[in-house]
Amino acid sequence: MDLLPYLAQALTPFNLLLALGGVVLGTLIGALPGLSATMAVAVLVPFTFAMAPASGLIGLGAIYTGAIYGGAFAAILVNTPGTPSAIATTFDGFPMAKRGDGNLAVTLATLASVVGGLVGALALLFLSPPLSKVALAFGPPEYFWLAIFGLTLISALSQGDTLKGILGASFGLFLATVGVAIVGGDVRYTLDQPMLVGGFDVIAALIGLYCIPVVIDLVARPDPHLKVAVQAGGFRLAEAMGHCARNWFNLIRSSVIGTVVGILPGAGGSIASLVSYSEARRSAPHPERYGKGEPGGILATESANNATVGGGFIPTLVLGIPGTPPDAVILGALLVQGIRTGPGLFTGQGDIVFTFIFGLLIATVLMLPVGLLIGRYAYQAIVSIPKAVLVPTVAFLTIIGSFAIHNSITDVYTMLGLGFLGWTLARFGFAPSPIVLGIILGPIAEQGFVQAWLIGNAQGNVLGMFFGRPISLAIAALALLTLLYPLLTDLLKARRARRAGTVPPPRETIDAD
Amino acid sequence: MRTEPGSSPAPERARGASRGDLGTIVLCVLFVALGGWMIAGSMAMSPLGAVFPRVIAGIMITSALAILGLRALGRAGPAPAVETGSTPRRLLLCAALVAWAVLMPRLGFFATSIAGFLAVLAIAEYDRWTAKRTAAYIAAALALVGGFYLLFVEVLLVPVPRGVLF
Repeated sequence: MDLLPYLAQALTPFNLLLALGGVVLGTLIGALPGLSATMAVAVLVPFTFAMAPASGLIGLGAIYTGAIYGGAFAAILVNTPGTPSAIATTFDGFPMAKRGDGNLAVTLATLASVVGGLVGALALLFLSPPLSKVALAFGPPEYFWLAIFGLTLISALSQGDTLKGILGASFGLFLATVGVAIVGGDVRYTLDQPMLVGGFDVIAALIGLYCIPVVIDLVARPDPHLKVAVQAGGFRLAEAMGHCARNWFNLIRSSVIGTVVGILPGAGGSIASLVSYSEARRSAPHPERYGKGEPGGILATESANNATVGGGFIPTLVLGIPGTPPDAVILGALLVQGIRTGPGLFTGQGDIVFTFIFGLLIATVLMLPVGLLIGRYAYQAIVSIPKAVLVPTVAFLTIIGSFAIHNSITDVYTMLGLGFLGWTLARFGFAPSPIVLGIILGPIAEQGFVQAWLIGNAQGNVLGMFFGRPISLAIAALALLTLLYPLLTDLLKARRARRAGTVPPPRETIDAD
Repeated sequence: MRTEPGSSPAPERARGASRGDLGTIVLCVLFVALGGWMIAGSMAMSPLGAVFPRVIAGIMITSALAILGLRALGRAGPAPAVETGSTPRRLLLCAALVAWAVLMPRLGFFATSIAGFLAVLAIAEYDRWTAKRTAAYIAAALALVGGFYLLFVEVLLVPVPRGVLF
């Protein structure tokens, strides 16, 4: 396939400006502790509605990759992860900053993010077209099981316990059923309110669920007035590249881990960075140095979390199943633009997809100068933005952003209502990501389920329709394994702890990116 | 109740866990009721429209009952983090956001946004108010709201509500 025309489209001045602006904006938002990449994408998504689909996607992809990278600044320089995906970066980043190597740590994080981002984006470029051909073999039961797999994965991995994750996902699925049914045309659960006939708008729901709880919690505590220790000695680029060369295998392995975790529906940068960090430490010649300022730790986490960006777009674009939480928001934006994701996207609307992929590659490369300059000259100014200005700015963007979806105040009410509900549920351990994934995957799961059920009924073999096809059976088995995995590991930990006479450690909880 | 290793003092953890448990129990009961309402509502639907909501309701009720059952057996999941921070400020913020959204179509987008921005700013501010800081905040509010207003109205052509003011 001739890809050069798409590269030329991605290199138009407007698309270049979007890639640069998106990376800068994403990096700034990601660098602010408390504001996640998902929130960055959710709050800025309405700006893309007026753009051509490829340009809008380039802007969102650049914001996403910039925000994931920006989280490293706060992790390294103030020991507070800017985004959840930078949690593991604090392990070695802050000890490096404490001993005066903060500038080297930022440069390492930048190089690793660029390498990871490029590996993920190249995987997206080269794996998506063949995978989309495989996906053409998927029928309704496969799509149903894929949606269920995504929901079980996010339920098992997200904050809180698995049962709460399942309950949250089923609540999201319920929200997706409100309004006119996609199969059958029934008007469901509208309480006779005309505003509910069209259902809950996906983007308004996502802005509410991801942004309003953050805003509510930001006002609850005083501004920490973070101070950054001044680091002397320039970028130390050559030294950082030397570390990259010595850790080349770690860098590539972590990037591949990040890409694969990104491909798994629902799992994102926070999981990828923790997995790659533990793998880097396990296989390092001096594992005892990890956690004390080892450059290999930063290279592992930062390459992995940025690789999830490209990896996560693979199921999002090929199957319409979001790979990571920010992909769920981007998928919602594509629905608003009238773009139907799925295998047909690569053949029918290849110009959009490939232009976007090249735009993402360009944005990832732009991260190198942008990140180095922001880390060196602007980070103190970023963390000095008073919380009292930050909170109303985010609140204002959520209101105007949700209004701009359909120019309707109803979407603002939806956004606020679901935001308050999401905050209440989060207080009791119900994470937002399963609910969001339920809303996104609800229509896919329902369409797959009902169509498979109808075909099964017509053939007199409903069970065979759901469990008798090899691909759907494999995906169902994966979903089941995902559900049982936390239970099995808990049982194993408890058994080991009983033998050792200690208390089993609590399960690690992971926030949305 | 299960206690967990951690750095916070045990009584505070226990209080947080018990509050979290009570909240979880109330929410699970509400989820069971929602599942029941979904099934009842599905009776009036066509078989095609009803099948999926019934399956979801079944999963919702089963998982909520499983959480309640585990708690009854004393096998609670991880306790939610103990809530800290100012609850009055949280509630004030929610009230300000609701007022912002409700008044916007009536008073006008720009006027409501300036007022809402300043109200949320005041709720989020913990430091002492000085004349210099107040002036800087008002300037920031005008610049940010004005800038985004122009961007949305003039560039993105979003028809924002005008209301009785502007």
